[in-house]
Amino acid sequence: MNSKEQWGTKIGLVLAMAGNAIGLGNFLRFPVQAIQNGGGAFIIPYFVCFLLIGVPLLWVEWSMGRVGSKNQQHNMPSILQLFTKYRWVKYFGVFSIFTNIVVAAYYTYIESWTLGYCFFSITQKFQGYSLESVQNYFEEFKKWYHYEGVTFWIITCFLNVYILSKGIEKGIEAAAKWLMPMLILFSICLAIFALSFQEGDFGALHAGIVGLDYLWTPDFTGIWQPKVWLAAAGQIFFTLALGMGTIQCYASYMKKEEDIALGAMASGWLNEFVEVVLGASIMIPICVGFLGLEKVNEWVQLGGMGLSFKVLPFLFSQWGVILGTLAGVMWFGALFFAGITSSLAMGLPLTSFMSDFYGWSQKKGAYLFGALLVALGIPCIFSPVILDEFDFWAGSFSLVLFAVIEIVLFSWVWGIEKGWAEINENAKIRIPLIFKFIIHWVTPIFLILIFLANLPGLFQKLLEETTVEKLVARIIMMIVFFVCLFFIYKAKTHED
Amino acid sequence: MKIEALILMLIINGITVFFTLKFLWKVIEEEQ
Repeated sequence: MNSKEQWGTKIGLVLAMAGNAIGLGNFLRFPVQAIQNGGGAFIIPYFVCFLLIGVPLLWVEWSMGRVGSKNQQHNMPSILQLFTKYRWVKYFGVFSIFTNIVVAAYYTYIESWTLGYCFFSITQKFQGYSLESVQNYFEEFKKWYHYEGVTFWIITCFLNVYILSKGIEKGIEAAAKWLMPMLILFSICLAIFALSFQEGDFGALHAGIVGLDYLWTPDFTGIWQPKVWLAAAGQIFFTLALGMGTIQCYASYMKKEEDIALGAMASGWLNEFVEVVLGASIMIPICVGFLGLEKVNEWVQLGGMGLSFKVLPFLFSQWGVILGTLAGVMWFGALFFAGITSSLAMGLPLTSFMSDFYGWSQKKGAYLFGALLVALGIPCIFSPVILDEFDFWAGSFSLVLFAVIEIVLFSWVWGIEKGWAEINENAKIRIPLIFKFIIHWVTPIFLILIFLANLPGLFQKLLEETTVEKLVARIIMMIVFFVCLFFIYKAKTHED
Repeated sequence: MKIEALILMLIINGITVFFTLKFLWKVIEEEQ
């Protein structure tokens, strides 16, 4: 990519960063996590994790990116290298490239379902379908031989490649400036509807507010259970897109004199707004209102995907042509906008790396990203087991590991004094001094504890029976990992 | 709606909306 490229406006950068963070999990994962972990009481560990992990890591990752920007480096291996004299540290940058390629492969596939269902809402495909037929259709839609599913997946990959090939300002920023306001507008409209319908309206069993009560009623009995805290920390990781290297990559294209303290807070809190205020007020209130508490209790155990794709299309089809179409387009449209603004961010670490080290143009880098989306997406379409394996190793384990590496590098190897000065440089807001202590001690210890707490699950995963599909997934990931490592080895860092 | 759920929701949503608007407003101000 042209190293002169940068964000056109501050609001564009904040919206793109928020778009990176706001994803399908804000609408589908958060409400289900909250219900499964104590309802309103879950919000307490969730916000503690936001303050002790989320906010500090946002500042650290934005700072690392701006350090990269000052040195005209936009790729993770070189950015890491700027924080230490040890040249081998650049190899940790492999996690950023590897994670984003693998996660993007299955993420764009799931994203394509939202695009497909948005289209089906317009064509009123599910008019006259029973709940069971809608469920069966979704299972078929996901199959590799289903032409509609595959078509929407190809369109989604193409859209990602097209926007990415346009570069930072004309591609990612322009998309974020259009899509983020639309996402928020659609979500607000749906939330207002979900909280305002009354018992009997459109055949509702309860008022929408009953679902809100169901989600927010606190159960403080389990609040000290480690599993609740792990779930809260995990949700913070996913929702803020931490430990992926995408934030550093985006931040490395900002102006050198740009303020990061404010930018990080604006994008971080905007993500929280979409997740806690809007994400909690749509899917669950609608489902509880129209299906009743007992059925939703059963469905929640299957996760947010089931409610979104197997239940909501049926409910929308019951609301009549105009309202049903509007609700479907807004819901799946908002999900698609949330998804694509995140998957675009996953493409940038690869294109920036190829541009910095191999002189590739943004277009060429975007084509490579597209080719990898297709190559790695095909196994996910063929087997949900492969998708789950990708999600576990690249989408969960790798994030925490890389977050531990970056926080130790930033606050211990580089030094908290330098780090704190970097965070506060040109800051337009005053950061409480307590965060210096948190970044130095609390966040690294907290992250190491989370990493250790995840180890039993990791060993269990390794010890459980290895099927052919799992083996294939692991071989694919190892190939991607070592090819990325080889490219970093062949590349010259700025130190060289 | 149960009173404890309502209070908790209003506090958390209030804090979230307040900080979101505060920081976004400052970004827009800076931009101008």
